[in-house]
Amino acid sequence: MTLVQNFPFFCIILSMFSAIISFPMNHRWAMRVHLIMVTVVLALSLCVLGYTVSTGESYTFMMGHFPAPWGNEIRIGVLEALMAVFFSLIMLLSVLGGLAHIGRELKNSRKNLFFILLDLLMSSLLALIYTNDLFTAYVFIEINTISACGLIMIKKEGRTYVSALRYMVMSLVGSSLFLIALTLLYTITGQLLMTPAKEALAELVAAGEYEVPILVIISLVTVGLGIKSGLYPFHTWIPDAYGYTTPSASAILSSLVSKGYLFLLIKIFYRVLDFEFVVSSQVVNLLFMLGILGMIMGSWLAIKTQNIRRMAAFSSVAQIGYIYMGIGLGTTAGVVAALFHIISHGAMKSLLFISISGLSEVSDDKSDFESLKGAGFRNKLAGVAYTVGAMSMIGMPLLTGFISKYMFASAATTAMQGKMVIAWIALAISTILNTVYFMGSVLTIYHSVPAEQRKPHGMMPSRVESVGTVGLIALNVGLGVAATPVIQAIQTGLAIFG
Amino acid sequence: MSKPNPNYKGSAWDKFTRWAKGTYDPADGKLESTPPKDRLSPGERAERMLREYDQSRFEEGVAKEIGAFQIISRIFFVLMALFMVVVLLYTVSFLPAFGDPNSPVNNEVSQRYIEQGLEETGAMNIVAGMILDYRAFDTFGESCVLFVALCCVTILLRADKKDELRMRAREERETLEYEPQEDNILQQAARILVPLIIIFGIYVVLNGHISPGGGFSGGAIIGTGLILHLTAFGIKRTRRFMNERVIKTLTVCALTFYCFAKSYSFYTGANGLESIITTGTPGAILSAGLIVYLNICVGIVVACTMYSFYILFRRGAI
Amino acid sequence: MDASYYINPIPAGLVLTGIVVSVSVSALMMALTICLYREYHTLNLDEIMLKLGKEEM
Repeated sequence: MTLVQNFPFFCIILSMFSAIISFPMNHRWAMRVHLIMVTVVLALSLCVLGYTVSTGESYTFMMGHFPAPWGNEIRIGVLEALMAVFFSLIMLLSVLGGLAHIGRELKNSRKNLFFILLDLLMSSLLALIYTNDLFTAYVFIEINTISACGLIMIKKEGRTYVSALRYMVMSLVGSSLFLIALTLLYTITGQLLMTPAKEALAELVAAGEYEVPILVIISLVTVGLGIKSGLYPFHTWIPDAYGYTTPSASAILSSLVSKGYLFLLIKIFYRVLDFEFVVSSQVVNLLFMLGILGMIMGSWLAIKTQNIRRMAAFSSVAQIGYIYMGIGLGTTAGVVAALFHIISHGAMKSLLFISISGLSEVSDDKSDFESLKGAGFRNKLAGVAYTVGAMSMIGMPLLTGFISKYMFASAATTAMQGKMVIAWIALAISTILNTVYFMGSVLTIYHSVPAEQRKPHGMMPSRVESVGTVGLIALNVGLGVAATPVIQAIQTGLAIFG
Repeated sequence: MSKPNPNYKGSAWDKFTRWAKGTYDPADGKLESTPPKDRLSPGERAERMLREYDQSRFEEGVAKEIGAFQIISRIFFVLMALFMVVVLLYTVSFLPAFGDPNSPVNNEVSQRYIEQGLEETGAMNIVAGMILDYRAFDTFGESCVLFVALCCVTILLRADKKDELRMRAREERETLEYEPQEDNILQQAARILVPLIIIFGIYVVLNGHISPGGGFSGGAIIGTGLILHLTAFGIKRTRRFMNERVIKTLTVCALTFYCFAKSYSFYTGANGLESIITTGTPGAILSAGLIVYLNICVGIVVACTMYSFYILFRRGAI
Repeated sequence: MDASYYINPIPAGLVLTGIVVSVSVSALMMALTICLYREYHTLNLDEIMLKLGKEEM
């Protein structure tokens, strides 16, 4: 096994080790350890991506001395490496963009705990991406949940306790449903690893046994992971959770935490249950309907809010609806579009949250639209960044949001006739609704105000923040202009994913 | 040369530029079918709501807007729970019978664990062999779940410097009221019991690979002993050997050792290299490869975590 | 030492992990409850939501 093939394992162990080692450190060292760790993970994941693209196959890495059904293993392919690259890149840029806020808003005694939570979040995301074992996935889902809860309530105000409580209750219901599905799967197949479980399930389906338990397993996994990632009727924890915490934490929560569960859902659909079987069991139709409802209701609720951060959180609900609609189309093109949107939404939403924090810090730390009038003049970089993010969410060409919407529209043509029409209509309505509230907010921040209100009231943005913001803008524009290699990588990765 | 338009004031372009500047709202006064009844500001509306919902009316449950919602939501939740119960019972009726030797669970996976577990891992307790050798990555993740829960509870409950003095004073007053100081019976019993409990815990941890037990149960026992010591003898005497620096050092060292030991094992296993760790003779204390040391690490982490949870809930500072 | 005296060890391992996860999550939720009580002096969620609404105005 070449050295490059060990890199994913190194990344997971490095992130867990940096969390452990930051426990006794003071906050400055914890921050340095975290930033160094994310940069190293990014570099190693790029090497792995290069290696997997050049060989075009996926390989398994045994965790221990015992092969597949007896020991644990992780599996690395093009798609997993690509996701690891983007997740680490978005985490690095989000933390850089919000570093000054972390410095200001948290007490020193809590800052090193914040970075420990970020390290563990990175490790759980990497493990969810690479794992080939269902029980490991469950354990790391729990690490993900608890770290995300810590990120939500890190500021320790009354509102954050209530939003953390709501998040934990709903998230634990999702984990329990996933655990029940896992134990049912173990009872009928006797396997915990994904690839042997798929063979055992294929035999059972061919023999026609255990039909009801298999259907219940598919529904429980879908509902469980859907609750945790914010599928439409289960989205009520999202606005509170994203709205009241520090900007880096909001950016990371909205871009990365839900996406880890979505990626795990797609992985289970391909690697445990055959995707054709899932399509034939009509579960994808349920996901399609709930995705469309999420798209429209998320945008509708976003129009009515007066607080810009809650508006961005509601638009997250809508974007996750897009991803579920893509999965629900039931074809490979739909899943490719959904995977591309996972990446592009991560880039867009973190840019939005970082620029919103930049705008509100020069407006006396207020986030409602009244106080934000003219904020674009007070903080020029944040204004430009917010405009780029808003244009990207609406779907302007040359930015990544346009490529996502185009891919959804063209994926809809490969689906059944009824689904295609509904998907197009929903895309159109949702784009119009997106335009209403995003253009409204852009016009608000560039509202003409008298000259003395064009000076910043409050803090000046720091240089590190500007680096993060510029990096995110570059990522958005880069994905929009040069999306083809990424899409090809997703397609090759998905072909070897199963 | 263009002339100024006399009808500019009400024209479409004028309205558009005024909308863009924000001085004109085309929907103003045109969207409501009936004018709103009372123009209260949001603050006044909230005050009126709070005035109407005073404590007694709240406890009686006669608050009109919430009362109906409470009844409906409770019925809905009970129905949802019954639905889940019925679905799961129906599913379980299709599963293989309990203890059936032909059930899918008794396949080659469990067969190899039982038949060859002793030779391959060296542990007589095959459960310990399975969780610390075959599936060690899951156990590492599990220790990290404990660690991250400890971090989150620390964030929530650890007192910041300026509240700490007030809280300490309040707690001293409370302990004098509610708990007997220096209770003789408890202290005499604890003097005998605490060493026995801790020794028993250490025994369970060290024998985890030979008899039932292991790091988790042994760690919980040691933690219980420490909690008994704290309750009987008070914080000052316990702090002599169990303070924040000791707990941090122990936790970090134990988790670091686990991390490196298991990384070595995973690395050699995946790359097909020979590892220097041998399985030893079954039944001896120092056998079963790394399992003894990993049990000790897990036991230390669990004991520190249990003790920290207790003291964070009691005092707010480790 | 006859293999027929032993049972399948996998459910025992799964339950062990489940217990540890439950303990961690229970401790976290109890800590959240204590913090909520210290902040709002009540544990009735409807009252807390009302007080929260008043704070936001």
